[in-house]
Amino acid sequence: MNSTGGSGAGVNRTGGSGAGAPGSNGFGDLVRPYVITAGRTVTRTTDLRLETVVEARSTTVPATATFEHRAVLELCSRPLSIAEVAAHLRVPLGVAAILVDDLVADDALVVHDTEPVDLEITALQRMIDKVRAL
Amino acid sequence: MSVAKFVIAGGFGVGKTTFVGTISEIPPLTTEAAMTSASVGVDDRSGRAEKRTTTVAFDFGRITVDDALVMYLFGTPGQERFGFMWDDLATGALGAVVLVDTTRLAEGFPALDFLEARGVPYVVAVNCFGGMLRHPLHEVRAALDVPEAVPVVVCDARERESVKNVLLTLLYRLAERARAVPTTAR
Repeated sequence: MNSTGGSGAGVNRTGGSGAGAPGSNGFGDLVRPYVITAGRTVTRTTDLRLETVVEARSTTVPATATFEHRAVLELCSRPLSIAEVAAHLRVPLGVAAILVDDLVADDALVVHDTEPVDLEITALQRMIDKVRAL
Repeated sequence: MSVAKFVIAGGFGVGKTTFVGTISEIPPLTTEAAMTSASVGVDDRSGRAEKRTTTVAFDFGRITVDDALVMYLFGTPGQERFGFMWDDLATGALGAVVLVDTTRLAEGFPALDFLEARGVPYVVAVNCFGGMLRHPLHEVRAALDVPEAVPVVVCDARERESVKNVLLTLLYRLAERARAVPTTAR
């Protein structure tokens, strides 16, 4: 684990998921993650959680979109959780949340149902059927 | 698209990532959260107590149930010092699996305590590498001191059928609770 300040070095870890070489995020290894977010660490949409699923509204890219925003939009051509966005872009969760938040504010991403599935028997039965069939 | 969130908890090296990888439709992904002052002094092995930022990584997997429902399985970071992350992981979680290793049962205690305190329903899965259980299940249950209603099962995190069985045990437990609790009581 890193001992130097700044979470940026955190993308360069060992024992990773095998999703690629450690430390190679798509934004250049020398870019500190919170540079990507222009220093912001807090999202405007408070109900964004690591499991919140978002999806690109269309292929239209907002005029203000940065390189990183475009990368998020590209990923979210299918519904993806913020945790998945973070993992694919190799940025910390908080950075992914802020990028997503920007795009939600720009109406480029839609947030799927943020209510966690409760103990609904029909949903549970669908999960049971799925897991059984795996 | 609705999300059903599950937590795979347990001590360091008990097999959480293996468990997730065995059942997930994608290879387990890893992401990180930044940790700041909460860990100061605790995270420090060298005696330097300066404020610092470090990160905690956690693995997760996904099972797409259908067009409208996806299950996410989030593995908790192994060390207790990353407990701050557990809140984010447990919030909105439908249920949890606590993986334990009989040679290091005590390492399962923080997860059990946390889930009990948060009221997250869980099952205990004794991960037996090679399928050899060193102690009878009732002894494991007694040692862990889990409530009678909590299922304790044996599993091999490398075997898909075994992992399926653990997840199904959890889902059946949730279904039982769902039938017992009227939806208006939420």
